[in-house]
Amino acid sequence: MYTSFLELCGFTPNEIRKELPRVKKAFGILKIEPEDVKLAEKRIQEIFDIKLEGIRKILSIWIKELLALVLAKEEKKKIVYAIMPSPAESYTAAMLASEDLYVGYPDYVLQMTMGALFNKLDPILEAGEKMGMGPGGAHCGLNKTRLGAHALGIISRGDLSLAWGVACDEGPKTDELIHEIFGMPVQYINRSQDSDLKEFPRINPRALEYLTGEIRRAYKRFGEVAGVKVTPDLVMKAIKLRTEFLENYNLISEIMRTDPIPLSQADFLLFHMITSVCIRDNQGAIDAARILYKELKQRVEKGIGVVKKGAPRVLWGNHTPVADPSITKMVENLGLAVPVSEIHYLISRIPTKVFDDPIKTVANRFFEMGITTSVTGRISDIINICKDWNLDGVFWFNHFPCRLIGTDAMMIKKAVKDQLGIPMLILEGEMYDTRIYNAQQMRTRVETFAQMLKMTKATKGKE
Amino acid sequence: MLTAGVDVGAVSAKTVILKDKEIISYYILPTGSDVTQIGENVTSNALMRTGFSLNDLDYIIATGYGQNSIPFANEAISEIICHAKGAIFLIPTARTIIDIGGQDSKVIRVNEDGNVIDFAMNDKCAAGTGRFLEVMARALDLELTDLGSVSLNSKNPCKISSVCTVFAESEVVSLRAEKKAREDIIAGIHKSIANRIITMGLQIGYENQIVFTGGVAKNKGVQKALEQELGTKIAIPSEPQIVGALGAALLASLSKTKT
Repeated sequence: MYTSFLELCGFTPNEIRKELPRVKKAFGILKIEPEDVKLAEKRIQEIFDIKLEGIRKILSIWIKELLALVLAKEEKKKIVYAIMPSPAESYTAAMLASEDLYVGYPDYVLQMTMGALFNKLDPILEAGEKMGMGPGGAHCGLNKTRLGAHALGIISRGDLSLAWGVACDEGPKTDELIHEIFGMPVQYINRSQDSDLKEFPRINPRALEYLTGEIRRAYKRFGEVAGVKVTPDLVMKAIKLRTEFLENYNLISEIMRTDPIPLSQADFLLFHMITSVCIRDNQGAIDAARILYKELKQRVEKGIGVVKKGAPRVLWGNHTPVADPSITKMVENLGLAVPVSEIHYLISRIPTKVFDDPIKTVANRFFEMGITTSVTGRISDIINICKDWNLDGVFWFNHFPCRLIGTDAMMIKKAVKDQLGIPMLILEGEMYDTRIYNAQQMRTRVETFAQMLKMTKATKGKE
Repeated sequence: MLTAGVDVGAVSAKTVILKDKEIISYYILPTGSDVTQIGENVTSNALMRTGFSLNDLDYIIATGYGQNSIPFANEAISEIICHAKGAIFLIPTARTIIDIGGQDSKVIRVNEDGNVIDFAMNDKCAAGTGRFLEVMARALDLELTDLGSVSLNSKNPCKISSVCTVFAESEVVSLRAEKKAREDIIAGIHKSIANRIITMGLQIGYENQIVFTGGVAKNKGVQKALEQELGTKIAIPSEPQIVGALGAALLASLSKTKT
């Protein structure tokens, strides 16, 4: 029953033989029925470009992450949870400390698998709502996912949560709630919040020292719980490992500059999300990126694109919806080419400054993105992306419940209009919860925006 | 050249027939449940007045929520684009269009060619739309068409604080229980709609001439509230409900010319 699904997701026959018992166990815990698997197969074929081997391979990485998450306790691992937004290197270093550890981002893994692949996220979100994060309260779907997954027993109580409160307060507050209800210990990683609006791209040395100290403190607590230390060598190893993935990811990113663009952002999301989390099979992800790059190069040589050549090109503000990639497909089907999405473009930049202390390098990397420092920093990054990619407009999928990225859309729209003279469409949505919007509801606005940009482009072409 | 624009909205379906860019006929019908059928009905009714048949039409553009369910249309175009074209055709000085239809409201900025340069539209909520007024008319035991004239007698509009249709209805029921004058309640409702629309449009800004279209533009009370809140006179076409269909028919003429 699961074989065809696993084949579709890029598992080799050997991998299928090896993983099948784990798949059965994990799907049992997740209440994934045979009918759900059939529906997922159909959904995956509709949404993702599974003709591409690179896409199938990266799907297998996500399924493996789901298995590792759900079976962590049963496989006698010590469990340390991570939350977003945070630099994946910091957790990757912890993960590398021992094979007897599970370190990972439960919410992102569930979003990418139970959401994007199985379309079975709603019961998890609803369970989170029943546990205290009520509906209509503008709570982030990621946090509801974590809370709901604990409530349903899909994931085991962690031995520790290393909760980044560096850019968002609701993430650590949710883990505090999980601590109160389920008894999971939490170590907070904080920062000094007082960034000067004119500071970016200069990094405040005091904030950098503070965050470096916080990560070090978190690693100390991690050592006490896990019984293994995160050494500077491990942090260095994590940086190198992540950098190798990013180098290959960035080749794909660069090929998206071609017209017509050879890959949908719905597919690219599968790689985007790897830039944000720590995973077990890093080499597998690197290989998948290499394979995809080769496949896309062939597409470019043949002039194959997912949107018509000459289509208006837009920046996707924030990042594309995770739980429902069909929104991304709808935007592209209406004739907008989306070569780049803001957050993942920024996350994927290779660290530019390397310190003797690798922990400081990780902390510094976090501040190198305008989005984590100030609105003006974010605007500066967005303006630079639009110029660099020669874009015709900005498509803003506003993640309304977000403390970090959900409040500055109007300021960004004004800046984009004033400084670049290009329009920006703001759609209110939730990147991690499909219940409060749908593609049809957004269609008129997206369609109008696409037609508006086409007319502008046609007029410019005549001039 | 003979073209048609078919605008199948959430509440009403409209067809405009143009002959050499002159309106020769139009028709309006309630949408009902069968979108495809209503598209056919409203178009055949519009054609009936002209002596032409569907086969005589050179090009047809569909718009509105039902735009993709009109099999006889040559093309489908977003209603925002169509409204802009229609409004600037009727009122060439138009630079901002406020369109309030059955279940959505829009503020559209256009240039002198009738091309959309920016727009804002309600997303999840029906407050500030024709549907909102329908619910309020029912709560007040009035016909929808009477709301405007009744509200013009108001001396002291009530404050309707809610931005949600369901909760606003409860608020109206409470105001009735407090024996507030019906005209004051309705004027308060109109003011609440005006505030909601104006706030939505602030993200793109307003520029004169402002033109008010859509079925709700027939309501003099909403017009008055909008003018008061905006501090400027707004223009209303003689038949504000057909502006989208007209724009579609005009775009059909352009498309046909290109082919």
